[in-house]
Amino acid sequence: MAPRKRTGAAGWGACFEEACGLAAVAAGQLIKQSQDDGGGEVVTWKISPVNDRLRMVTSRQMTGMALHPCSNNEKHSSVESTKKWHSSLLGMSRCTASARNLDMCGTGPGGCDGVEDTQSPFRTPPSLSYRCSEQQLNGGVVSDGGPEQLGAGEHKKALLDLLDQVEDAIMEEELPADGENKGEQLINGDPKNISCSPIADSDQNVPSQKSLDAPPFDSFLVLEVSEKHKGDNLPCDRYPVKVLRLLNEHGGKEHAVHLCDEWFHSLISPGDTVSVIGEFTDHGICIIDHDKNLVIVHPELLISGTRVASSFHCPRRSVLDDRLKSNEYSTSALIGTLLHQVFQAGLLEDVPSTQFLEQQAKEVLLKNIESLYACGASESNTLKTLIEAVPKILNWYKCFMKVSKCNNVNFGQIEGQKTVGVVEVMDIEEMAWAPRYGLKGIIDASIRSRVSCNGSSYDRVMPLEFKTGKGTSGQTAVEHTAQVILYTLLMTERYLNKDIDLGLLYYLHTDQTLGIKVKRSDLIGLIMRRNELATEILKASISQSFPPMIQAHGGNAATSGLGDLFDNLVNHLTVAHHTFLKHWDRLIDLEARVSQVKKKEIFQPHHSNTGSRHSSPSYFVLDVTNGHSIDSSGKSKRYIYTFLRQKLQPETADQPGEHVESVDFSLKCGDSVVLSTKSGRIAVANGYIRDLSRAHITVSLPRRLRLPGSNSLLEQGDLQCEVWRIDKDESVSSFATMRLNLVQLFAENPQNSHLRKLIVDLEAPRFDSGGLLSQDPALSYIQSLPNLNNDQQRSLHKILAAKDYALILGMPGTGKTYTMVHAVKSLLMRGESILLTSYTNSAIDNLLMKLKAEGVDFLRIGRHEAVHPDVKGHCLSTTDIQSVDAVKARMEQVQVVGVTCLGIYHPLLAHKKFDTCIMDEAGQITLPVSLGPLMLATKFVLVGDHYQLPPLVQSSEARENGMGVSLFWRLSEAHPQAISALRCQYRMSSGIMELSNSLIYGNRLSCGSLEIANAKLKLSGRGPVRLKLKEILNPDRAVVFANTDEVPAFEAKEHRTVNNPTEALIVSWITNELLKRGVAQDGVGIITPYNAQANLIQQHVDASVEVHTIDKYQGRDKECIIVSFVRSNGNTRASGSSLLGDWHRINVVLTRAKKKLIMVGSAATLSTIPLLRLMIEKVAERGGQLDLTNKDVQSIRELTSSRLNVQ
Amino acid sequence: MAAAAELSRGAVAAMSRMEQGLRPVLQVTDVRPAAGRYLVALFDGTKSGQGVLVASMAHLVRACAIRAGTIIRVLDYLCIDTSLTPIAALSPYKCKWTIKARVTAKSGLQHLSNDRGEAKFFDFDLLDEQGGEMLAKCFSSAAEKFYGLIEVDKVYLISRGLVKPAQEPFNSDYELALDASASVELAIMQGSSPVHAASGANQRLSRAMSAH
Repeated sequence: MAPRKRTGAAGWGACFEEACGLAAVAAGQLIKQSQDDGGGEVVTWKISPVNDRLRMVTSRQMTGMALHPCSNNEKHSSVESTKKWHSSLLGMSRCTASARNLDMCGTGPGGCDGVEDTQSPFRTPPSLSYRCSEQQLNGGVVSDGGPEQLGAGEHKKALLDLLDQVEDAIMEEELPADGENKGEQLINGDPKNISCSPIADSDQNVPSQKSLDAPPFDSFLVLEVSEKHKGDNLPCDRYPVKVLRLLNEHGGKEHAVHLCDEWFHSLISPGDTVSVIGEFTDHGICIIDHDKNLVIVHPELLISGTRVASSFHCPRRSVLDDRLKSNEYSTSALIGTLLHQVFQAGLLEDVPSTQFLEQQAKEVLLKNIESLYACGASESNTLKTLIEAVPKILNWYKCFMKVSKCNNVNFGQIEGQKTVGVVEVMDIEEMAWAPRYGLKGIIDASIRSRVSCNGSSYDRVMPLEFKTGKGTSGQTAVEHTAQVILYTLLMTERYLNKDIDLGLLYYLHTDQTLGIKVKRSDLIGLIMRRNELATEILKASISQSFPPMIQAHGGNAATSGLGDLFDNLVNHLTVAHHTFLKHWDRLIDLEARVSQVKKKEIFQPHHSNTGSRHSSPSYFVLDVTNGHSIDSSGKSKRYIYTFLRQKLQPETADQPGEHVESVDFSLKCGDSVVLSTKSGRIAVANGYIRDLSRAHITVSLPRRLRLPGSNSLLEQGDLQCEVWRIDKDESVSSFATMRLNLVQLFAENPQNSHLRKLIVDLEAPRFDSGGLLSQDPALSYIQSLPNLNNDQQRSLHKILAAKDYALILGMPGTGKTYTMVHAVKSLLMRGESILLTSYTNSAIDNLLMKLKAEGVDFLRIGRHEAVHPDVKGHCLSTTDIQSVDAVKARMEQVQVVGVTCLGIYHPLLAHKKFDTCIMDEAGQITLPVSLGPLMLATKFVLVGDHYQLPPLVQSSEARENGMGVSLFWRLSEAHPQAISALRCQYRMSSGIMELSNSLIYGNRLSCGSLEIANAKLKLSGRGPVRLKLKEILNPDRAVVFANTDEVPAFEAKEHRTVNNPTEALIVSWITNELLKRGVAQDGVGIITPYNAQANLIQQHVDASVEVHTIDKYQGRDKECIIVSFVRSNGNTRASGSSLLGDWHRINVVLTRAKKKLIMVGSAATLSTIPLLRLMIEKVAERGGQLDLTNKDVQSIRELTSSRLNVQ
Repeated sequence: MAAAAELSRGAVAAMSRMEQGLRPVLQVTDVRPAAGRYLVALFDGTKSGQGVLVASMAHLVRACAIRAGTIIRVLDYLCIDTSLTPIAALSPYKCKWTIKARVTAKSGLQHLSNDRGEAKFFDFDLLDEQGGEMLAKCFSSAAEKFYGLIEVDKVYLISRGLVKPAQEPFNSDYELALDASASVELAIMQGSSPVHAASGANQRLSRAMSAH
């Protein structure tokens, strides 16, 4: 990670946050005025299938945010939209689609607001007017009526039912306990959860046995806080005292803590979570005073030691630094990093020499060439600085690394001089988490030292902190000492060693080594500051308020000059801007809190049993057959370890055989992970997933895996004996990036001002009018492409004409990637530079691989583990680039760069600007994430489909308040004229396409060719005995709904997960029959809404057949898709599932199959969901519904059993 | 008169524990002006405590009705909690502290000249009851403010200074830097009661009121 200088953005953020406070009163007044006037339209954030009536529903529950009133300009835009719609109708007549598609009725969506144009062809909701009346078709007149005028009473009823369904979803959202919804479920709250704190989590299970390796991490919920000033009735006879009534979140036992002396001033409130460092008496009381014990407030907030140390100077700066990602580069900070790396390399060398260190200096310089480029630093000057430091570093080794020549170190007035020699360097850059103390940090070096004093000698584990700056005294030294003291706490927890109370501080500049002895008084001050900082950070994330600015000594705003600076930074912002920023800041905090809850689960090593409320984490053992390997292909050396899934013994005797489960599906290649041990060691190592399967995970670590504190001779055996837990490391830094993007949007510079007008103020985008220049080489290129269809060509023209942005609505299977490839090539014809971005690495690499096939040169920026192998050759590598000039030349020469949205603060992009940014899968990216790449380009193109899955938002509150609306969706709603739609699809046969086309896409889809329209599955071999089962497989039936109501096939619920064994049997039988009849294994896919069902089906089908939930199938397709809906219950009440009620997800399900779509479910249960009822009715109309009976299922069982007997 | 001479033993300790409703009979052992108020030392026959008279009582001091030796009944009082911090427990990382220490040495007021003009400076050594020692330094406006107040062998309550690493560690790892925002107050001594000179009571009492 390149060093970042904390100025600029953070300082600007501080000024702006101050402006938020100043503008609050004015904003309130304006809001009040608008309410009194009643003139402006209140635009709510929530967008749903039925906007009209839903707006009334949401207005009762949420306060609408007045973003902007309706304007004449908007009405004008609506008129333009109508014209475009008509022109596209005309364009459709030239389409070479099959005759059937020419019958498109062109009815607009119902339920529109009277103020808005009812003819907008691209507005949500999905079309409900799939039936065309003969009169409408003959007349060719587009209906402009509302839902009441659709004519058929059943349509109106369906609409109202859909509205009721949406209202039910809003009122009460019941979520099954699937892994992907775990965090959301926690936020919604469990009725049994006695905790009232959203952060605190309660686990009712008491550990069956106490771990011998590490003490359990007990956190407590504060029930009551009282202050007592009289001492008569208190056992400690102390005053004043603050008494905390605590509830153990694991054991449910009540305790009391008495805060005396300085601790009395701690700011603790009921509902807070605390960790107690100390022993409770038999009466459950622990006294924390000047002499003993500690209390940690909000221990789940791991705060870095450096953050605590620097917060003494300016608390507000520390809170803002915690929230905002820093995006500035500093030469001095970079040199410090390089010196650290040289020093650490020498620590690991047995006999470091001048030659070795100078070689390390060159290697370190080469590895950080990109950061040098970002800083604009001189290569030769930097190397000179490193070389000049070598003699001092070498001298330090000679003084401290040779036990025979120990050096005297002063540990302060009380401890005095001691002789210290390093016996062993156990680790460098050791990352340590200490949830017991609420701290984290990266220790420069963890050393074991021989300490001698007054004739006696003993070994001590201690931190060594290396400082390269010029500040070695005064306030700076105070902060450095604080850092070392806090690091002793980190090592105390990490090494399970309570005797760590010494540390070393080496100042390179003055060649001075100080000894740090932990004093109780210093420790109290530091922990109390850490507690205050945690409270401030939590307060900032809940209410977006910050510690006050520090007043200048003896001056005021005028004399200090801050006043002018403040005004210059915030004068350009309007009240609407303030409201927008405040709103999105809050949404990001809501989402971050869910992530925080997930992170806390890493701190709770609990025993898995069937009674657990959460799904059990997977446990692994280290694979010893191959040992570990070392990979040096990346920037730095990586250590590769393979873990095998541990087979759990069945809890009950009647459980059939061993219960084989798949690896947690939420993990995937490239994910950051945290390795902990089941015995209670937390965050032993951090790394990335390199490879994984059902039975194993291969991880890549920056250092050798070791158990801190264990005997190094027995280490290998200890590693093998441990049972490991691998958790996904939800990156909190992504939220800091989102906030930084948001704040930067409001910075005063011309480009961001332009972007702000488009995104916040929603100004209309501009396009070149009057046609493109005929001499444009891009235009000539497009005309030369024989395979472009009309939609693709029109979209390319739209992109070329855009001055601000264009929106490409890429419906399923419409050649979106193909179109983007040619968009890139045509823009390159013009000489433009292009930034390609998306949320996921796979989405970017998918596009880049196609560009590679076209011979387009590009640069891929990304983490080594996350980049696709076929694209790795296009990353900047140190084997090719050996100097800053070479980096500069490459960056100036390259025209196309691919990077993820959250990776745009990479050093290589520090000086880069682009003409155009193309964002793929834009419908799935939240607004704050989208902002980052757009700031690097003059104009942008968003490519997506907001009818498919929206952004994945864990917090339901954040989602409902707007986080679930992508920027693509927001701009599509505001300016439909910016949309160019790709409607000619090359994936689905016509029978399959018809479903989503009528239900969702308003009959705008068409098949790209007759061949596509008439595609059928090819089967070989004999048919089974029963005719009905044969009909399920019949290739002539493109869409089949196998109804299980007469079987029946009821759902089964197990500990808040839901599955359906009978459906699983039917689905697996269908799958195996298709495979027997010649369908390729990769040609069949199974989709189900629930992870538990996916796991169940996977056990009964071939391992190479992909069984996934809906969310994981976005962007994929198969020749044949089999769907298991799971939900089936005896009564006809609503299933209450928000998964099946989500029309985005249903759309994904219906658009994955190329040739055949087989759906298995209960028609009666599913029909309680309006959209699914419409779907089932439509399938039935075309003869696709097959009603299975119990005899059919019996026949399947017999066939399955006979096949098993044969095996 | 014999009844009035009966002091309320244990009252100072009880008042220090913030007990309410007491109306103790105490003897004034010392009175001295400070910042427009009068500081009084009160003796209950066992322990001594310190207090500040409310402004409306000042005329009694000026009329010599309240002076060393006077016996009073305290009708109303408010106890302000001030926890004292041993010098050995001071830390740069602690924000709220108050020390009570005797000045054992004091330098002269020095006039320094530098590029930005003339500055004043003096320092003094502190020693507390627990034997903790520390050097305190005053610059510029603080030097002007505190030089006349600090006297050798007198005891002071000091708070809101900046604890820094000592430039020349001799008796302590830290030293005290006082600026104009620091608080330095003369602590009441019990010189008139040699038997109880080492009183443990650290509480200051205010609003002492005479029964007369």
